[in-house]
Amino acid sequence: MYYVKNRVESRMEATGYENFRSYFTWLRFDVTGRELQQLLNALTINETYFFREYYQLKCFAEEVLPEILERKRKENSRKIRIWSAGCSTGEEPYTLAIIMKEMLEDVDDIDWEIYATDINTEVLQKAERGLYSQRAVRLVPEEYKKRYLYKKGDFYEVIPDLKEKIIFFQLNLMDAVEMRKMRNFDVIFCRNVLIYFDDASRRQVAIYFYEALVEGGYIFLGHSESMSRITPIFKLRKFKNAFVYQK
Amino acid sequence: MRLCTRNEVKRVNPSVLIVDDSAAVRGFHGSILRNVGFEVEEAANGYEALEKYLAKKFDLLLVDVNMPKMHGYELIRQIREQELHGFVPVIVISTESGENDYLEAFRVGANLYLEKPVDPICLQLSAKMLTGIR
Amino acid sequence: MQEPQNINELIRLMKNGRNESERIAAALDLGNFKSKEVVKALVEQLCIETSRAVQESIVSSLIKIGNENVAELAVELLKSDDAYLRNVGVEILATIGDSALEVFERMIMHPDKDVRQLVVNAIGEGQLKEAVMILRKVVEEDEEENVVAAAVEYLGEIGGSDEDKKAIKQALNRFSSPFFQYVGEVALKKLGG
Repeated sequence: MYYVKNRVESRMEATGYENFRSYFTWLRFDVTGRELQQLLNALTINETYFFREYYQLKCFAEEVLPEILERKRKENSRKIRIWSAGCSTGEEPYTLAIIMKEMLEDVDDIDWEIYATDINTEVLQKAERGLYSQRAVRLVPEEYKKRYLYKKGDFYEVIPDLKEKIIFFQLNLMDAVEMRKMRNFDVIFCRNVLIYFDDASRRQVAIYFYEALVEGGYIFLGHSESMSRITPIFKLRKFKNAFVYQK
Repeated sequence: MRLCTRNEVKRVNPSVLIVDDSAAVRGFHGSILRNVGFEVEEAANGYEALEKYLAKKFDLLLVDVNMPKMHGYELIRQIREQELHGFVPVIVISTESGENDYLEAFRVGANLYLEKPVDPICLQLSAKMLTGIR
Repeated sequence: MQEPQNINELIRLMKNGRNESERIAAALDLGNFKSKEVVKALVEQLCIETSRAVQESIVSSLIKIGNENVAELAVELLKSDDAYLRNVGVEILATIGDSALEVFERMIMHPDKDVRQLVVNAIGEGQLKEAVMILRKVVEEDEEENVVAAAVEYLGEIGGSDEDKKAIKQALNRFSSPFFQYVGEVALKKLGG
């Protein structure tokens, strides 16, 4: 409720209405429907920012990544593939890229790439542009800001080095044909995306994810989401900092 | 006046996690166990149960078999696999009476199998026995 | 668009695919067809399949198909010795809802109480308001305490009519265990009776 109240109040502020009743009356009688659309957009856009749900990222960097590296070396494999499913305006994949850059700074024998997908082409465009407000980067540690972001007036732009490690493209998680092409991923991040799907669709997507992962691959969901509730085919692992699912 | 012995131990209430998709059954079994001093926590389904189990050590688990999505035996299997806090006794509560069902219960690692409707005294005695409480 | 050769090939791949991946893909693709033949093949494989991931793919397809063919065969899963299959049967029936009503009406009189229990669970899990009458009938007539208790609890959630309340009150006279009395009182309280 707090979330809804916030969004409505911000629309009221933007349109200059001081009380809800007058805003609502105007909204109802606005024949253009423009304000209704604005309100809907405001209600359905989710705030995303760099280093969101920090403890999961800490788990990924400090607990999961070492396991992946060990496995890669044992298998003589050279590349780590990460998928940010439902990447929205890009904050998550860029955050992951920063983590990978930092954690693999001294590692020469293993390379990595990030696939970042979303169903919405508008947000993908923004993601590729890599330009963010102060608000979106507020949790980025200072030294990373200096290393990975250019300041451009009131905004921050991601450095080219980071952009080139990420492949952005449109993908509908329910598209059977396209989803089957996603293969051999070591980690999938799908945080706070599946909450918008119904039970049957969630299971479908979970199966596609299973197929997209290598044996022993990991899935990170939003901290209040649970894969066990969707399908039993993944194993739940409790790490020090977070719960993760594994194939 | 009473002298404390060196071996005086502070009594802590034993804890039980009750897993059942029926709110009424959770309430019913919960009140029975509270009456003999258990601290009761509830989970409405297997995934909630698994996450609660991984977060804290319980002295006893009461698991309903017929639950949607993650059925009781799957939950117990995963708990035995993880065994995070050491061994925890598990009582299975079932409406089924087939022999296969009760063999399956022990196969996945349950310690006791009770059929519904559960008799309150029986549940209390079983719980105390499995947790070593007098 | 859907040719018979396609179906046979898909069924073959689902049963004998070289690896899990192939079987998963075939099982998922079969979800695009509605025929009795396909549903039968899916359910048969579900029962003998050893990979949980392939089983889940089959379940996904059965739910997607969701017609009376599925209801007819899914209900047979309720009799299985395997807990996973029984639960999946309940989930499928609960999800496909309306198409399963006829099957519910028939199976609610099954001689095996465990089967009747699962039918009640399916109705309750699916919160199927169209099946409230079936629940009430169970409360009025079924002789098994656990089956009636489950029906009472679900009735407390999706029922509400005076007949529902009356049925629950009558059932409280039939079963005297502390468990049943507790469940009945909770349900009546929910219905404001």
